[in-house]
Amino acid sequence: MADVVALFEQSNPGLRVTYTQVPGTGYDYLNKLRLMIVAGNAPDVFYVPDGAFGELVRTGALLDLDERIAASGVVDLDAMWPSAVDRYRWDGRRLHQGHLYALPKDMGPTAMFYDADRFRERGVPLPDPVVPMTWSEARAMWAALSDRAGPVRRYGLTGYPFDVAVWAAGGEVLTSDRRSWAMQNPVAEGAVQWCADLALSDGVAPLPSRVEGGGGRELFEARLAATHIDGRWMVPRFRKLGFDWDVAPIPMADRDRPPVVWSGSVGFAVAASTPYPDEAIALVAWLAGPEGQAPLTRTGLQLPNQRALAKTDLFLQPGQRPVHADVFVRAAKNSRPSAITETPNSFWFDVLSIFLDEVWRGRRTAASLFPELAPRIDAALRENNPEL
Amino acid sequence: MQARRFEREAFWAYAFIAPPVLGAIAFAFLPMAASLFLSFTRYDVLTPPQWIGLDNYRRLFNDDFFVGRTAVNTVFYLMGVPLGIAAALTVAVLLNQVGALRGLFRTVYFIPSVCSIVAVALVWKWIYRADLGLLNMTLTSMGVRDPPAWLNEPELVKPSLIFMGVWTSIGFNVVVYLAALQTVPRHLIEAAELDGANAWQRFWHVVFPVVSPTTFFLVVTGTIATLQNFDQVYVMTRGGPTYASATFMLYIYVTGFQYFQMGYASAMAWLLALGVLLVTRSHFALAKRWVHE
Repeated sequence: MADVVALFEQSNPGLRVTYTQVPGTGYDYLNKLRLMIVAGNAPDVFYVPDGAFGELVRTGALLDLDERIAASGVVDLDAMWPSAVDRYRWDGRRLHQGHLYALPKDMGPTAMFYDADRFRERGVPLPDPVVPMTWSEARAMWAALSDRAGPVRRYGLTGYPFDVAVWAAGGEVLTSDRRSWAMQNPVAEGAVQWCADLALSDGVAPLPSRVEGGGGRELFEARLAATHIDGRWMVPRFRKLGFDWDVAPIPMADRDRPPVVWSGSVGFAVAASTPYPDEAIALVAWLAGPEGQAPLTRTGLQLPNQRALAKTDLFLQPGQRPVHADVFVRAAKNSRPSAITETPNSFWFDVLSIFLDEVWRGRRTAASLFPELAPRIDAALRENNPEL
Repeated sequence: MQARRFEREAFWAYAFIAPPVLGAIAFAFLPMAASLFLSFTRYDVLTPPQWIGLDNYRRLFNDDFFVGRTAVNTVFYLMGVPLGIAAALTVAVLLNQVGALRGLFRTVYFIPSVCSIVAVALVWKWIYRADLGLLNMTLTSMGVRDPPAWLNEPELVKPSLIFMGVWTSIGFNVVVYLAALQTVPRHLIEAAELDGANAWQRFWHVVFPVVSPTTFFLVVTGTIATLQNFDQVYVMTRGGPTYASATFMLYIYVTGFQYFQMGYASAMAWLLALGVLLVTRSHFALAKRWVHE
């Protein structure tokens, strides 16, 4: 990023940008950012992960970019993925609508990474790069890739994200007014149970107690799991792996519904308190525009926010893994942000995750747990999001 | 003349006690007063606090599932206090018999106490790891199939953490006990011996009562440390799985510094302070029955 900022300074003589990197995890970054904002010391421009956007925008820490962006005339929002842009909107009460408070730095759609060597060893046909498999097809494939007995246990996949399963089955995590949890019904219960049964009854995915540290990713890297669902941002890391891998669309419940996957994103925001709003917006517009996106895309880490750029070799990077990089482009079109981006405070999601663990461990079925869980999640949702 | 000298002495006296007193006011009493005030507000750090009266306390006692679960966990962790003290007393009594290498053993046992708890926790995290951990690799080499995921099973995580806690605290406790054991009068032990008391009887009726003030000290400090346990759980498990290892202190941290509900976190902190006070008072009240002055 420091290099990209240097490019900005070259093309904007007279503007100087001091780039500060925060060591540690994303959580450390957010903590430092919050404390800087509280101390009245906020950076003029900063990253805001989509999951933390609601919490920050609610406090008034972010500058409303709507009119200034329109006035500047340099940002073409239509050139960007709509789902990437809309996740940075806020109307004072609801997220994903209203004024724009950040511009997307990137788009991180998810796909199914697979160990192609393992498929060949097992004589399993490689998944189609265009048409997603159905759940039943995928289940048979994962079973064929697993070693459930034997001294070393190998899995077909590392795990299936439950929210994607709920969407794929036609359900929702929250109601459209976001005032209640929407998973207390046979559709969502069935989808969550399907995810759990991959480990519990099929044995094609690891039990949660066997997944540590880096989550399932480590199992994929160690070739103990043949497929792994993750985002575009894993590509630079996986390029260092010593086996042949590629990506395919995430399997969907059936072919009746359009495919849907999850995507992450990070935005560029301007501090409401900045003494240099015009300069800050110039930087953000440049970084989120074609000039800034080109060098950022070259890292392999991200799908550019610019739709046109995603179809060029700059993103597809022929000669490097993954061979079917266009899987991410199609996934971006079908992707939606995580449910945690729908409410300013996402404590309710922590409550949900903690209780879902009982389903992953086979101690409760989704159908028996959810009716009991619903009032608890609704309370956490309302308690911490009074504006809804 | 007298009066002026007194004034000058008083001036210097105040000057010397000023730094600690001002320090305590600035860094302990004012923050405490602020947190007491904040506990009656909704405060997200970024916007000014809003007065909400007793709402935070109402929420604490009425409908917070996590308060209940972390309280249960904390009670479970308290079982580690007597275990740790019993282990330390046993080691101290044995070490007291050792002549030549006592200093060496004392140092070896004390090493965990001078290590950073974060470093210790990271090492234990590797020992306990389900797949490549030292413990499970050893068990596997001994023919155990599928050894348990120590930190990743709700039933096993608390005992695993307690065991590690005993290991961490034993050094300090042993050193304190060794000092106390020096104060056991020889003539009492000899008199018991002459009366025909066996080793256990000499320990239980002579040694244990004499070191009981030390035991009391370790019980009180150990209990307070357990009620405030945070770093170990934060580094090892972040409270998981299913919040089975979370302590109340961890929940305060998550509420305050992850969700920035400083008002609610302050109310929790005051509840914890009150809990520590009550438990400590009850220790002192019970002490009259078993601690020999």
